Amino acid sequence: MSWSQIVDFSINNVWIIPLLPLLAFSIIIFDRAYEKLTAREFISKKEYIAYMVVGATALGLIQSLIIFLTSIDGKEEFIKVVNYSWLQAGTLDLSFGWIIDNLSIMMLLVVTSVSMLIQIYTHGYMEPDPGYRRFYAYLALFNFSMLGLVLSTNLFQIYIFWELVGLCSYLLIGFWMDRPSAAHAAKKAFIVNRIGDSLFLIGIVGFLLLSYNFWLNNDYAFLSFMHLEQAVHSIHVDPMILTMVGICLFFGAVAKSAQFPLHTWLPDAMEGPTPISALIHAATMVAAGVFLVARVYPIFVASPITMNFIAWTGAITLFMAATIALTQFDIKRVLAYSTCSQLGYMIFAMGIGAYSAGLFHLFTHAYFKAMLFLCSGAVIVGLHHEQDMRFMGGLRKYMPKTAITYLVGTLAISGILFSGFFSKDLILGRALSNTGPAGTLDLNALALFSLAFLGAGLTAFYMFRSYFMTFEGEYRGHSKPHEAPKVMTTPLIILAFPSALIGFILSGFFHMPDFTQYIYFGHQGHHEPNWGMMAASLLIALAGTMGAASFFWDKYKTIETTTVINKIKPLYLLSYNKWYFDELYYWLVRKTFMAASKLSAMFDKYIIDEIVNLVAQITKELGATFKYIQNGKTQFAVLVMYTGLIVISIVLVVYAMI
Amino acid sequence: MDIQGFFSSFNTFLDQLNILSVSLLIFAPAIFGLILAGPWFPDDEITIRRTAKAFGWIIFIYSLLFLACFDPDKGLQFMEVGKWPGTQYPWIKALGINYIVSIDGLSMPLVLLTTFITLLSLYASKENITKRFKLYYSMVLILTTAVLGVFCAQDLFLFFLFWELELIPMYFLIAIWGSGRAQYSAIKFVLYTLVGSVFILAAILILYFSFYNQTGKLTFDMYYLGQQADYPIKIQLLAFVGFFIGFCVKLPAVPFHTWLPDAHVDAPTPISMILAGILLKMGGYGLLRFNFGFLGEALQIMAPYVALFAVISILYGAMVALSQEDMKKLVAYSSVSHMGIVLLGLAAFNSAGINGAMFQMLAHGVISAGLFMLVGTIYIRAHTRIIDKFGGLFYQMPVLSSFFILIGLAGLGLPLMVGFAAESLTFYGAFTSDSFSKFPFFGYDLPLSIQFFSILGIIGIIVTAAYILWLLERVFFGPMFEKWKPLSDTTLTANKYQEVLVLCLLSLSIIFFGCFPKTITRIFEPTITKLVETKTEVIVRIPISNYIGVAK
Amino acid sequence: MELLYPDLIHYLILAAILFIIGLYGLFTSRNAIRVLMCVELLLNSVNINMVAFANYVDPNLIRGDIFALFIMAVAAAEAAVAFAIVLAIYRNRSTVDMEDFDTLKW
Repeated sequence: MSWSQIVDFSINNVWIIPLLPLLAFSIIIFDRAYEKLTAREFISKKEYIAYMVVGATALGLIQSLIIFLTSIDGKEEFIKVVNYSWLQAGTLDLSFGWIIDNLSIMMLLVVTSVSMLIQIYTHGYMEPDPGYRRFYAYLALFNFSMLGLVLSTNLFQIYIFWELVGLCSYLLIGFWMDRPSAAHAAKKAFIVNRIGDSLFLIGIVGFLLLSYNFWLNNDYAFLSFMHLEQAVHSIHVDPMILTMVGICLFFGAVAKSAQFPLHTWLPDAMEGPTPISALIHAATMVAAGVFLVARVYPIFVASPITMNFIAWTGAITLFMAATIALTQFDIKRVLAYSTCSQLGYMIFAMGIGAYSAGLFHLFTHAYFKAMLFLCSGAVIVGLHHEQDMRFMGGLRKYMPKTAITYLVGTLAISGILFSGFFSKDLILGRALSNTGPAGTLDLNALALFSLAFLGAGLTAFYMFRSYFMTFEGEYRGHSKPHEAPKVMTTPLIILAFPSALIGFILSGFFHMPDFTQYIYFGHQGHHEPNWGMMAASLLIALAGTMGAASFFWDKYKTIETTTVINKIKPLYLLSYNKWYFDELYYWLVRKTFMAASKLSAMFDKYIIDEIVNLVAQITKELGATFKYIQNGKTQFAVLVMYTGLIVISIVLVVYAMI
Repeated sequence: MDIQGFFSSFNTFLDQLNILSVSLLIFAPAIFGLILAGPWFPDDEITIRRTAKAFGWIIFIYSLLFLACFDPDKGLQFMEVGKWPGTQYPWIKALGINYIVSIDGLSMPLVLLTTFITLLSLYASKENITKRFKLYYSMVLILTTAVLGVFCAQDLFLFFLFWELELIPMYFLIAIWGSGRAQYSAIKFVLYTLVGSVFILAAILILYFSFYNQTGKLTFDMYYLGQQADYPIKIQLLAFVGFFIGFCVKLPAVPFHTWLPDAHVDAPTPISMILAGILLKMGGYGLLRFNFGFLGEALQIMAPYVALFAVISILYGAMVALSQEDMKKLVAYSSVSHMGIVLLGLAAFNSAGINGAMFQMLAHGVISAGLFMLVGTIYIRAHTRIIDKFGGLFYQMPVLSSFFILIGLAGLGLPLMVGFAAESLTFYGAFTSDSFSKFPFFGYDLPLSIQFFSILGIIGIIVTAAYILWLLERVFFGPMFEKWKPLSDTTLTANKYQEVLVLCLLSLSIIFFGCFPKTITRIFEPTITKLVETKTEVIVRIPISNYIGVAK
Repeated sequence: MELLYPDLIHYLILAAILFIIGLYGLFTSRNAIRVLMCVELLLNSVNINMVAFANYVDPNLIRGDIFALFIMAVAAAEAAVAFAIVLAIYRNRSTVDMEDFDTLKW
């Protein structure tokens, strides 16, 4: 088989990529059911399951790479769309298919590569767990859903996979289902996502309503991404309506990407096993929100208010999550809030029009954040399931590989020369240039920029705080730490390379390939390096690092933490208690909601049903009252009969006379 | 040989065999029931049950043969004159009452659902029914006849007859084999439905006499009453309200729903399956056939109120379900909520909405039957249904729990399962509908359009997620209680794969039709779309002079 | 002179008087036998009506007479059955008082 045949096959059969994990999932589920019902194993060794799942993902990765190489070969923009009608009624025709364009190729690469490494890592992490096989089944199902999401051609289809990844997230957060906190967190994640999803659905149908004639008059698949721009142009309504539709659509992304105000599920989702936190709640699924924003960008761009709304959502989230991360002690929670914050950067980038920069940050973030989480997993395993950073410290001596990779990730996310630096710098540069040329000051843009810029400093601070508290200084824990097994450290080391280098490789500097030339919105842009901005962002990141060092690195400790905390007690408490969002929602939503539910149930039981019973009761009472007329005496019956006869006769006679 | 060719030659083969008779399909279950009930039949539980299951399979396969020969693009089918037993006979000529049965796009999927759920409920009867087997199985089969009759009748009087006939076996099934306040619930069910029936009868008579006033002919034939008549709008509205109340009782829609939780809680598991899976669909079928098919103009006027009923049912049913303590009650209220979506599709009055309504009925039929089955399987192991008494069952019964999670998730409308396809079709239809943009309220026009009501309906799916997930969390997750240690997937079951078989069949249909919804919408989509756009065409019937009673 | 040749109206008045007497007895008698006798009185008043009408309205086709005969036959049969019932009740309850016959009450 020649190379071109392979290429053709890969491109024409891209559905194989998501289908292989689905196949693996079905086999494992069959194996599970078989074992539970017959007490015999269908697949004799559990390693085989890992091989199968990793193999399925690896094949997908190879195919994605082939498609990727083809896509950068050609000079033309590379797009291939296939649609099948899935559900049809009257004029409405919802279709199902797959799309290959630069955006989906990038996402394919991210998803397959990160999940393959994490699936390898999982073997080490979940080895002693009795739910090993089930875990791999869920991983495979997630892979299927996520790849399907990436390949979706239209809004309807993306909603399907949108919910499916939510399901996987639900199953995996609640993986250790005997822990009430895990079950609770899983439910919370699903319901918060459902809130976003239902708004998303309203947005989808709203947009369909606005553009219905466009889809009818043209021969395109309904709601297909390829034609969204044309569809938006065909809409002639009050711009406010389009804005509202846009904001509804955006709320899908808000929930999935854990943006303010629907971010509360993500930190709780850390109840799930760490590989899941790395794969779903850091690298891929939560980034789907950004992916969605990129996909429906034409709708957002059409309304400046929507764009501003998106930008502010991102800015608030990135700042708020960063402040919360400053004071958390659970290593996974710090990373969770940092994920939240970084996703805020991406959404922020989308909102200010830095389309390529946002996706570039998604790309780099996927690698370094996955790696950071995997490192935390290695630490947790090494410390026998200790997650509190107060009981860590000095781990660099015990687990050098993990420490170094964690440092790489920390540098990358803080924006100090590694990957994150390049992508975050692009965002900040765009935010700065949005403030307008010198002399004309756009206050809105300036406020957005300052939040993002401050956030960069905070990022460096809390990430280095976690690094120093975990790996530097003296060990404060009790159990003896040990380095993670090779099957776990190898993926870490592999991931360290893209984390460190991919930003530079795709930065476009020094004749490197330019990410913004590959994925862009509208026309291909060309970006000039903004040296001043780069220096500034490097400086603030270094400042954050120095701050963290002066607080938390024992060697250079100059400031006592407790004195500072006492000085700014209210602020500290605000941050430590996550801005009281959980409490707020508990009282505002859950309590009122349950009260309303109880009230409805009471209403149903004591009002509606009682009315029904009352009708029955009245009938019964009437019967009980009037039954006494039936006194059983023949003569009385005859008397009544004759009386009736006479009355009727009189009535008839009178009636006849009138 | 390709599949298409295989099917067409199979069709001709069946045609030549000349065995497809709707009358036979309707009455076969009753005949089987009588065979089982008679003194000639051995009074032995195993024999009775196995024979009943065999009968169930025969009926199911027979209805599948109908599907194989069914042509969705044609209207009424399987009513050729001259075959035996025929499908059209004049019955009471003086009043224009006829025996006419047939199958069209609206009936076909529901007939399949009926035979399918009946079969599964016969399987589910094993553990749940412990006495008077002869009577039980024959009652179930007679009930099937009544329901099939409702779905196939093409004469309003016949329809009403079957509609009432269904109550009798159902009363006994709940009252004799039920638990708890079985008598109360059975009587409540019967009386409530009878109250609804009064309204239906009134509406039928309104149409009947209105047609007589127009044409001077007395007939109950649905073709003439539905397609050939042109009722004045006041008559239409009057009849519409009558039908609507009657069918809303059966559907059930809030506030006519309170019989449902009682009936479900006290009925034995297989009867709950039938009740939720099939009987509720009779209400939806009536709404589609009469309120939409006959009285389209009235529906367009009444659409705002239908939407209001729909949204109240969806939200209120879900809210009440959220704080139920009895699992079965929770599932019952979820039925109220889900059937509200049928009403929403009806209010949309466009092809997607009505198709969605039909699809939702089928989806709910399978899903709720599955949920009731599962609640029953847990009940016969744990002897309780109170949610708070459970916890961590997943580790004890992983297979059943997985099924529960799967079907529960289907119930909350997870994609690639049948509930999602149905709900999204309805919501897409309702949102893109232009059925009304003002809500007339005592002379005021409130600015509430169908879109507003669909948004409320969509919000209902959040509450649905909440109560189903909360149920799953409380029953299956969390720490395990010591008390439930002895539970397992296979307790009590001599044939331990029986429950799994039923659940597998249900889950497979949920997933298959969820992934490939076109396979099922293909059956009813042409009929409904045609009904939305125009009226259906004339089909073969007995010559008119034979059976229209003419008043002196 | 007129009184010697009674007209239809006089027969009807007679029948009505008999009927009302019968009704009065039917409603007020406590003895079951007397109630039955009153029923006979009712029947006979109707018979008079029938015959009178037959004579004055329809003298050729004596349909009323035929009906009267029928009524007599039925009344005889009815009396036989009724007395049998009364006897049976008397055997059971040793009374024929109508006030005590109320086992069908509510």
